[in-house]
Amino acid sequence: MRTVSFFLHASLIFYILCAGTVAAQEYRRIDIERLLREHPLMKKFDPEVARFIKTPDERKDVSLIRTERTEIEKRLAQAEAAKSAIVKSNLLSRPGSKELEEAWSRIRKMDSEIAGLKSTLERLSKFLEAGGIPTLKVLMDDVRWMLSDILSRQPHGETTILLNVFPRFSAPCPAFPESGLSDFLHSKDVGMLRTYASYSCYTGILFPSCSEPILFRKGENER
Amino acid sequence: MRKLLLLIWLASCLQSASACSLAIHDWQLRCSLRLSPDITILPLSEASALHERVADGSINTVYRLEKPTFYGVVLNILLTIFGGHDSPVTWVLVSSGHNLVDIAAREGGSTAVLSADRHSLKLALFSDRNSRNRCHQLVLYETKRIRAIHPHPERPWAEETAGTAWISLVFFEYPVPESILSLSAFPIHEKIEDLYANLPFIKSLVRTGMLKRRPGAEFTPESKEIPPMPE
Repeated sequence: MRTVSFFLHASLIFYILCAGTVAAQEYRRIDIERLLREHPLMKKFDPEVARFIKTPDERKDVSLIRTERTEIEKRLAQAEAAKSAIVKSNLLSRPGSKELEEAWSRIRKMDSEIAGLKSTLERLSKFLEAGGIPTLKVLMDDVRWMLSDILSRQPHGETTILLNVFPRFSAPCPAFPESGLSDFLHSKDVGMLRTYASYSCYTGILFPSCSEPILFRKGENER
Repeated sequence: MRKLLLLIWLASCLQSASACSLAIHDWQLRCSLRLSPDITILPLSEASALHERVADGSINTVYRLEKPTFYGVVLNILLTIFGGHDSPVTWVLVSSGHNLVDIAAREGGSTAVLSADRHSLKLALFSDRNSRNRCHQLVLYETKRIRAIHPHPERPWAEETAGTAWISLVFFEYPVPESILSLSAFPIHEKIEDLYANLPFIKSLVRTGMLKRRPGAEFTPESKEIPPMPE
């Protein structure tokens, strides 16, 4: 299921990246699923956790994060102590104007270092709270890079529209708030259709450059 | 899945117009003015710079170095009363002829000494295209260099920051009290704070179509940011 979800996500990003060129002269059909499977980064994909191993997206051991956080906390305390020492010896000692500006310059550098350490500490704390699982953004960055890489290798002109072959697995219908597409498809209720139509902006996200209905061969998508 | 859809949609809407809680605006710059005063006009970033030190209770008096003016004295009184600190802090105006470090070294302990220079003040008027230019936003935007010293006997502290502060007034047609929609300021506790919002008036303008209704939060994320200021 995680693999299915991953490929569906990847397909969605494909549509975002290839949002339509209205004046296209040529259509080209590509199989994004096959190209994804053949990509070197996919060799690092762990379907168990739906993350790429040996990349920033890899799930980390909580004990390692704790150790790293302790180390950062120690470095932060040292940096703050060093800054206090600069303030005491170089600033409050009432130096001349040249030395005073040098002291402020050193304080600025220390502040920059402290800000970096605090930012790392905050990231590690959030990482720890999430049980060592990187945020979805990290996964999205990897997928986005991989898709850009795949698309850049596809020979096509500036005005070509690339048509993706839909993933060959049964993907669940997107769940909509209150009433959804799947509800409508099953109940065929007019009121439900109206509600579904009011969420058309969501479906527009899926098919930003599609103005024609999507037709499936009979039996192809039956569940 | 729905979360992912929402995420992708949000990513595609990064350049959406700024919005208040009920209406969506398309701000266009009408006119602007740039000044370089030698005094602080909006002392919000000064209070924010010391917020953390004041919060831990180690500061009870702040000496603010500035050219002595009546406006400066009033500001210090306002900072003392409305500084937003949990523990009482007295702001004292000291002539900028004094040296920041000398005062810090002399006062020591539970004081902080602060000075601001390189002031730049911008005043800009924006009009909302969505309201056929009937809704306006007046922004007073100040940047400066702030230097602060807290001569704590064990852990002395100093910081140099680029202070940014603004106050924004949104009004409909004329800047008279009954036409004011909202007043917000930054930074107050390091965030944008809504100081005033006339919700009944905003609702009536939205209902009558004078202001463009903001779609649900999931469609247009609310932004309290002001429009980009002119260079």
